[in-house]
Amino acid sequence: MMNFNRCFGALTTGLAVLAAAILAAITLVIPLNVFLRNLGLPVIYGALDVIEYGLMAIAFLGAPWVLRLDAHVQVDLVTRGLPPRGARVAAILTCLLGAITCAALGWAGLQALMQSYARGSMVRTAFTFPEWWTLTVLPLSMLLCMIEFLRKIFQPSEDSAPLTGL
Amino acid sequence: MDWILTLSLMLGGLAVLLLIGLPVAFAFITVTMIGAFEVLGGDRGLLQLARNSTQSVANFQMAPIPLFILMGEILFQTGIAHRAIDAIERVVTRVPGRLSVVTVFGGTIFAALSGSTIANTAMLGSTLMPGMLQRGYHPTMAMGPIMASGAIAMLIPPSALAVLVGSLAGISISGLLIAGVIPALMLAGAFVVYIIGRSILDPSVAPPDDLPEMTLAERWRPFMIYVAPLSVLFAVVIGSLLMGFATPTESAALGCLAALVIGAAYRALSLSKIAKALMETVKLSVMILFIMAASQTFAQVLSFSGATNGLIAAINAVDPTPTMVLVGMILILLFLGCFVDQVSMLMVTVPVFVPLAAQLGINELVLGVVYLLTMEIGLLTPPFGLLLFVMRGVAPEGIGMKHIYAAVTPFLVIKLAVLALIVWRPAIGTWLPGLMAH
Repeated sequence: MMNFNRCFGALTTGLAVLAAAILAAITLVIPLNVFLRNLGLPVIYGALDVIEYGLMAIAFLGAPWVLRLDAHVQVDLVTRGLPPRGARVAAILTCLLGAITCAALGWAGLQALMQSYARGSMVRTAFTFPEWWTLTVLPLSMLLCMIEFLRKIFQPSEDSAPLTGL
Repeated sequence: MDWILTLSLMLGGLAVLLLIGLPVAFAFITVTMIGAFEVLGGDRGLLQLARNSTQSVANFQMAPIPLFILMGEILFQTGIAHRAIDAIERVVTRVPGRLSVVTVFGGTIFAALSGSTIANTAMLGSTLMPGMLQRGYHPTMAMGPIMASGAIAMLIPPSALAVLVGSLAGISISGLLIAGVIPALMLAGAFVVYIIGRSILDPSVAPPDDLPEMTLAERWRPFMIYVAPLSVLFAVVIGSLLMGFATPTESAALGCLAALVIGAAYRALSLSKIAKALMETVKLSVMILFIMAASQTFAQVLSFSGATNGLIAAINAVDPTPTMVLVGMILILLFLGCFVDQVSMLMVTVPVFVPLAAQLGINELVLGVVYLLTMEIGLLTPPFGLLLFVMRGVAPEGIGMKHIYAAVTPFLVIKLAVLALIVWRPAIGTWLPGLMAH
């Protein structure tokens, strides 16, 4: 269990680092395009499309890590006041519900991916590529979130969730 | 299925899931999934949700959200924000309630550098609160301005939530970013007037203190070094939007770059700080973007079930004036703000409020500013405003939630007054965006 925990933690953190790297790339590409445009030089081709898919990748690759940190925003209106036993029951219930939701959306995502693959659908924007590429990130993210929800049932975090929001 | 039943089941189900503590993003996905299955045609509805969820997030309009967050994070991680507080303190002298006034100035300046109300409140709280209590300030005068001006970050660009409101509600994002500036400055001005007035009437709440004698140069030099250069950031982000040089995404990315350059100029930049800022940004951005995954389908389910049109028709049946509707929207948002987070407030109300406002001719920028102000107030309303808990986290032992509620109340009244003023005189929100170059 300890080994699994460590490996799974490293995987989710690794994906979050990848999301951070994508964010860093977006942060550099946009001003670069502004400068190139204002200098009258050709801009980086397809930057807009790449940024859109980059945002999608950030959201879905980072989600399991954020779930692991308990940093997804949560309404603790009722759970804050529960006695420890009640809080534990609520936590197990939410983890189960979360796992079921992730499994269902992940399954739907996988169906959408397979359908797109079977049809040979293509994305034709600045670049042309098979549409199913863009549909891989959702099932992967949901699978990892499902595992994380199940992991939390057996290994609840000891600290209270951090305050998150903007 | 009857639209009233669909609407009740979706909102009721959402409320139950949120109350038992399921993270907001997953609660939205769960109810949307059930709604999509029922309303959008079984498995086909689920596949549509899966496709929509990737498309909702892969949206260029959302790009300023992580970039604005990153800009603020760079400034906080490099400690530039903290150094500026000390410099501001030196130039504010001989004013009743001096440190409370410094808090409002500091909070407003940082609001123009960062879009995070939590970071803003926590930073003001940790740097200014101990000094104020030590000098005998009443907890109300110490904590109230910290929470109230911390929340202003939501109104002044860079504001990630303004981008979200604009993107979800289909309101001009650059217009909305600029529209928040005047209401924010009015708030700051009203806070200062209240602080000075109260300190004059009852000097015991903020005992007079002044800095040791300093020459003009001693007082202003740190300000010129640590605060004045930050105006470059202000010019890059707000100036480029106002002059029409850059789109919100471009202004946000240029802001990040400018924050890096300023960090380097102060020799406060290191790879580890940049990495920390990036990871914190990923955390906050994922939190918002992931909730957005369900947004498109959630609105579609409400629309296909007839709930959106049914609700709008029911409201129109009583033949309300636009002002009545706007006030009704405000009351609903204020009520929601007492219990749920800002993104949930948006997700639940935008599918109905935006078409309703369009039908009645309510100006979209006014609606946007009303959203921002009510969301800002929602951060501060008891019993569960997020910033009240941030304050408790940085307040010293012995200060309970009761003190914090009492401290924020006068400032809440001021915010409500400014909100009422915007309903009465919508030009407060629309005048500045009207000057924007196209």
